[in-house]
Amino acid sequence: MNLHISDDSFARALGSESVEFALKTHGIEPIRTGSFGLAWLEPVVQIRNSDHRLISEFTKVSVEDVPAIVELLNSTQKQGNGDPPTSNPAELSVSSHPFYTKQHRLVFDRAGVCPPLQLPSFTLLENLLDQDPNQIIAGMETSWLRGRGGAGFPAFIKWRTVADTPADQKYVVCNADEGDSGTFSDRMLMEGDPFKLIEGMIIAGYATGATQGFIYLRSEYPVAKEYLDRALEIAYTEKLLGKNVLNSNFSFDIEVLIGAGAYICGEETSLLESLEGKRGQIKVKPPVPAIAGLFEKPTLVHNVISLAAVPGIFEIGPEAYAQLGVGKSTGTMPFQISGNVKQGGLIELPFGHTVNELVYNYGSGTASGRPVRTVQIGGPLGAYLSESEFDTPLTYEAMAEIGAGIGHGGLVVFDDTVNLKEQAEYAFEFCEIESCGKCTPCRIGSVRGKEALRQFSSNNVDARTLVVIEELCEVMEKASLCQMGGMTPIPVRSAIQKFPEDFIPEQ
Amino acid sequence: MLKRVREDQSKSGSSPSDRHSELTRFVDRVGGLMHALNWLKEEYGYVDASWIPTLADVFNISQAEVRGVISFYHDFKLKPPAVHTIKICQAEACQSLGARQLTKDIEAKFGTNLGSRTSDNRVELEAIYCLGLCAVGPSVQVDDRLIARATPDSVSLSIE
Repeated sequence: MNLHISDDSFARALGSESVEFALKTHGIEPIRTGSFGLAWLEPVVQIRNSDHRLISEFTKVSVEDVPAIVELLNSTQKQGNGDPPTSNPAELSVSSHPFYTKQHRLVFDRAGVCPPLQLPSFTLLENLLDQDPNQIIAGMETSWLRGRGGAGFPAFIKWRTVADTPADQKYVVCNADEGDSGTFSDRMLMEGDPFKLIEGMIIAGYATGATQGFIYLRSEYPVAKEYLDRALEIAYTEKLLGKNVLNSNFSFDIEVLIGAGAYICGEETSLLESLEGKRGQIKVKPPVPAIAGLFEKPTLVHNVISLAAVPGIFEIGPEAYAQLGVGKSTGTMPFQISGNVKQGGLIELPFGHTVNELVYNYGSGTASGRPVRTVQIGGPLGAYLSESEFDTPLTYEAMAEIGAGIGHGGLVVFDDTVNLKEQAEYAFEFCEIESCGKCTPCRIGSVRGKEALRQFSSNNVDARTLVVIEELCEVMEKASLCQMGGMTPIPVRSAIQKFPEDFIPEQ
Repeated sequence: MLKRVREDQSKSGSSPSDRHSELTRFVDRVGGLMHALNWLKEEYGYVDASWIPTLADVFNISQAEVRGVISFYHDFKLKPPAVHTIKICQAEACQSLGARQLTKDIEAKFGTNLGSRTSDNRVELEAIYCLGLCAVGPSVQVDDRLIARATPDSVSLSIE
């Protein structure tokens, strides 16, 4: 009989470490597992038998629950291994909760189920390392995986470019600078199944001819660092990394670099500058990093989920992967629902489900019990949606049609107490704080936008100021080098257009 | 874990050559200066200005360049931290769960404002933009501890 306790940032922030400590004083050494992603139920404690079968489960565990857990563990231990579940004090078992069972998990298939540092089987990887790299890139093309970090650019084009650009050194860089509010899938993957990311990076390295990988991890994720460091150590001991990966002719190394609290370093050229030890300032593209990236060498830059999706693509086959989703939005996307929502967490689904489904069927409405007023999709540079847009399917194409984007898959729910004028002001303010300062429209436009809105109270912004705001938005959109300045107008404009009553007096 | 060193770095005993040898291990690493600055942050809680000439020397760049890198990143500070640092998430997901009010309440509780510290140097309040706990906000980080569904009470309890 084993006792599992979820150990990720959600669980820790909700007190799992005190629970673990209390269990240890009873002589019980719990096994730490990743989170299933049902954040509102954390911390989760499970009793599993030696065949890994779930016997009993406790959710929202606090130190006060420990005596009951210990008692149940002792009594099930006496009954032996094969007996059916004795009792289930949980409100609903995590792994049988519809929030979990209705998902389609390819990237997060092992998260929560297996301990994060348990070495998985690498048969797939061994097979791939026997294949022609071009065949792997062809598989990526068939799968039509699009970058999960925000831009949605077809991954195989980058892979082919890196592979076809002659150089003495090539790199794979994993962008783990997940700074968007409302997103945590990268963090959960690194904490819950770090080997999935390592495997994806090795495949990407082999296919493109890169021998050195870097993970640029944001400093706000210390738990992810803990798990990554330990997983990399195990990977080197098990010859999964280093010279002759799994006894093949291919060698690959991975190193972690910790960022220093700059949101802009999630932009790839800025990230590469930072990785070189410099100010994380944006660079003009072209050349794209796939041709001249880190130290001017061909560099494949992908976010965590894009790389972690790769093993799943070849596990089920690129054709089968392309069948998932809708049209050119193929495969699964780990959506994250958060903010003012009853059931927040990670929802991996094929593209094509609607915002409504995520907010109501999975999220179960607001945490406050008040009506949902808006959902911001795609992080701080994403659009605020009005209720009439909630039936939009979550695909790259359908979202683009309503002037929104899926971004990194984060949906932040707001109830009817939200003030969209404040949110628009904040969008400018965030741009001001995080701008790298290179482009004038971003550096100064953001300040000007914030000040212009701040001089008025809500529902009382004068019409001329709204014209100035629109002009600012246009300049920022057209004249900024990167998405920071270029996309700040999206939340601002969507707020003004869809919720004018928060800006101007009602007629 | 942050080793909070109370002594004034500029007057501490380490000689220039000690400092050199502490930093040389970062020189050949990719992103060496970032590694070195992160190490100083972990070790002392901040980057004392007296390290800048050594950093410039070791990495063979100008002091201006070192300062440029330090000033670019929110995490690198030239001033020692207060005894406790409370970072309150100001981003959208936490806003939707009352982070603006929570910030005001914490400011009132400790008698200082976001971006400032108490006069006895016990507590400083900082803004942070997303701890990745957006489904269980509002989120606060007190020193190395993460706090979900934070309240002024849960925050002040974690300091005592």
